[in-house]
Amino acid sequence: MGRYIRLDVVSMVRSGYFLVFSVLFSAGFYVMFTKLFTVQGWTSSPGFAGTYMISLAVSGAFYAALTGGGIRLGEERGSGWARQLTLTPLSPRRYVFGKLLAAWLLALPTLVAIFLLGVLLNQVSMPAANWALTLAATWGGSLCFAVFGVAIGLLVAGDATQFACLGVFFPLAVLGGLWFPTTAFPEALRELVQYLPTSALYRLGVTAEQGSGPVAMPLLVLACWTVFAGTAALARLRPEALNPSR
Amino acid sequence: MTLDSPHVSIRDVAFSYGRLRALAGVNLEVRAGEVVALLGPNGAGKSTLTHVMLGLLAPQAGQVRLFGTRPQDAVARGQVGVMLQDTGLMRYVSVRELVGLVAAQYGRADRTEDILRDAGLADLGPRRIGRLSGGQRQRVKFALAIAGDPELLFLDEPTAALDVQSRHAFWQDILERAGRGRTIVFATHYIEEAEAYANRIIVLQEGRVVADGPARQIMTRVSDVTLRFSKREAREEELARLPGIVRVQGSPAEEGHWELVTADQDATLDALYGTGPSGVRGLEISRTSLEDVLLALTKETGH
Repeated sequence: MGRYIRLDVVSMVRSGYFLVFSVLFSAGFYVMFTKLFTVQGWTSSPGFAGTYMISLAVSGAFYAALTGGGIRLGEERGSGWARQLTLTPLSPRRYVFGKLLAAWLLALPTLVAIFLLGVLLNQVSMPAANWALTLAATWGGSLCFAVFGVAIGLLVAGDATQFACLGVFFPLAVLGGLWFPTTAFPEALRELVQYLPTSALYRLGVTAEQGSGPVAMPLLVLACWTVFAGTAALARLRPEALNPSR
Repeated sequence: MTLDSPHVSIRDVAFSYGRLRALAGVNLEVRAGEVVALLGPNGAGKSTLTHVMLGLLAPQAGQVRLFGTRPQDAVARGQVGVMLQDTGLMRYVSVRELVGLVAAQYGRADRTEDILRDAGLADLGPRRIGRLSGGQRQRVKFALAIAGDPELLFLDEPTAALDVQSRHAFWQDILERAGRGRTIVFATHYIEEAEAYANRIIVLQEGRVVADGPARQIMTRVSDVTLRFSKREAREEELARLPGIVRVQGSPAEEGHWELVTADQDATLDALYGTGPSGVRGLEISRTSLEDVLLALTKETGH
C-alpha cells in the first residue's frame, strides 16, 4: 500500500492546481496582510504575525487534507479507476484508507511551508518545543479534515466532488476565522463558530504556540467532527460504492 | 477449493435493476485454459454478467464462484485480472509508474518491464498517461489486466480502439496465455474475433444463455448467408422451396426485391439460376450478421 500512497501523493503534487490552493493561496494572504496592508486594525495587534501564520497554515492544511483525499476519491470513483484498482489484491477498504493517509500526509508540507514563511518573512519565533507542539497539533488535527474529505469523496462522485469540497472549504475557512478575524461577526454567530473544526484547530494551534490556552474544548470539537465524518464514510464504504454510476 | 474447481462457476444467477430483469437464471462453467467469448446484442446482460462474476454486483438469486470461492476472495488472492470498459486512469503519472503500481499489488513490481513489453508499451514507459492516444490507453488497460499474470482474465471489448497491428499482437499474447493454462473470458461485438480466437462461444439474449458450445459448432449455426436480389416473376412459396433456405423475405418497399437466408449458399444458387435465364438481377451475398444469428438462435430456443 506504500507504493499506492506514494504515487497518489506524487500525482497530486504534479497536478499543480493543488499547490496553488493549498500553499500559494495561504502564502499570498500571509504576505498581503502582514507586509502590504498593515496600517491599522486587526493586522496590527501584537503577535499577529504568529497567530495569522497559524490560521493560514491551518487553512492550507484544511484545503490539502480535504481535497487531497476527497476530490481524488470522488473523481476516481466516477472514472472507474477506483474499480480497476480494487479489482487487484488491493481491497476497497485499503484503497479508501490509503486515500485518507495520502490526504493527511499532504497537509504536512503545507503546514511546514507556511511556518517557514512566518520565520523568514516576519521572524516569527518561539521555543523549539512550542514549534514542535504547534506542528504536531495542527498536523494531528488535520486528520479530521482528511476524514471529512474521504466522506465527501464517498458521498459525491465525479466532477461534483470538486464543488462539494470547495462548498465545504470556503464557508468553513471563512466562518472558522482562518482568513479574517471573527470579531466582526454578531455575538451569536461568534459563539456558534467556535464549534467548527476549523476554528477549533486554529485555537489549538495558537495554544501550542503561546504555551497556554484552551485545549480540552477544541480537542473535543475536533473529535466529534472526526467521528461524525468517519461514521458517514463508513456507512458509505461498501464494495459497490467504488463502482462508477452507482 | 480443489485443484479441479472450475475457474468460473455460475448457477441459476438472476439479477434485476429494479423491475428490469438483466439476468434470468444463468448457468455456466469455465475451466482452465478455455478462451470463452461472450456474445450478445446490447442489453443482453453481458455487462451485468461480467459484474456479477467479479463480485461487483451481488446476484439476487443463485451462486457465483471463482476457483471455488467468492469472487472477492479470488480477486484478493490475485487470481483475477480485469479490463473493463469506461475505466479512467490516473493522469499525472507515467505509463511505467501506473503499470508498476498495479503490478506491485500482485507482488510483481519487479516484472514491470516484462509487462510493458507484453502489452506493446516498451517504448512508452516514461510517457505521461494524460498524453496517450486512445489506442495507447487501451494497451495500458490491457497491461493492467495482465500485470498480475492472473489465472483468470476478464476482458470487456478488449480490442475497441486498437489498430489492426495491435489487435494481432493482442490476440497472439492472449493465445500464448491460454496455452499456459490461463483462462480468458471476453465480451465482444466482433463475431469474427470470437470465431477466430475463442474455443467456446456463449451467446446471451435477454438475460439468458441461448447458445453455449465450441466455437466451430456455434459458427456452423451462424454460417448462414443472406442473398439479396430482384426477380420480378418470383413467388414467395417458390423461393421457400429452394434447397438450404432458412427464411424468405420479400421487400415491402419494392415489389420483386427479395432477401433469402440460406444455410447452403451453393445449393441455393445452383437451384436459383438453374440452366437457363433466371431473371435474377443485382445479386448481393453477405454473411449473416450477429443480429441475424441471434434472431435464428432465439427462435430455436423459443424465447
